[in-house]
Amino acid sequence: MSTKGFFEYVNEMSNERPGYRSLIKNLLSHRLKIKYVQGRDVPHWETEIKTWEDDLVDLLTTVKPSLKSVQIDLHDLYAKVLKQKDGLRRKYPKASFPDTCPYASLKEVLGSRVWNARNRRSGE
Amino acid sequence: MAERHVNVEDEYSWALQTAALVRKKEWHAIDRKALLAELEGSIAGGRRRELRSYIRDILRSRLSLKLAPKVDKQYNKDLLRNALEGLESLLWSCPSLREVVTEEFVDDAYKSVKYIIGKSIRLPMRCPYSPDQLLKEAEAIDVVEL
Repeated sequence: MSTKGFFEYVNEMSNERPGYRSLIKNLLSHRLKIKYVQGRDVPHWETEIKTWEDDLVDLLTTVKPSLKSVQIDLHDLYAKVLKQKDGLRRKYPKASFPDTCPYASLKEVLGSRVWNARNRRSGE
Repeated sequence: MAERHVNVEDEYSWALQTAALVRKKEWHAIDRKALLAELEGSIAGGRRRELRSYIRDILRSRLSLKLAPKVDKQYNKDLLRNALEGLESLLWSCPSLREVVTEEFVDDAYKSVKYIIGKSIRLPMRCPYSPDQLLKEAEAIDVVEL
């Protein structure tokens, strides 16, 4: 499987890398549930997505640059979200999740609010 | 494959190495820029972010319970309880954070509440709770009527 275009970097994030990755994982998982599971929990998932987006925007706008960076591999993250022990495939066996990540870029997972905050930060 | 960033580090290892340099008083070998970023961005900034998320969650759950009491009642009660407990513990460990809770800070958190709640509840234009009210509620621990 080609991973071209799936590595994304957020330059100069500091100690918050684990939190950053975890929030992205949450966003990915919930966007997938909304897309492939659906049902009555969708409004709740949408609210949680907004909360995590807000956390990410706060993170991106307040963390000062250091010499570190974040590397996110969407393919790897997708595989983990789907296949890990408590992953989506096990939780929702009837849902038809694709074998490869349906999102072409991190931008689609982060959403426009977070993406804009990320770009503003990168331009500093 | 995209080019890998060269500066990806292991902050655990970096922290231990920096601590060792401080012990040995090898100040010249310390990466001051990175150290400052960790102190200000991760430690101080992390506490500030924690504070903001508690204030946001208190406002969000409090207003949801008040303005739409039948919707997700238990969820909002749990959210409020957790946020109040978290805020109380945070202020206990970092009392100086009280000074961060200004009207501007609360207004900023309220913007997030508006974003998260969206149009599902008609929210007041301005945040109806003052910094003092929020801090007193956190101190009281018991959920009080505001």
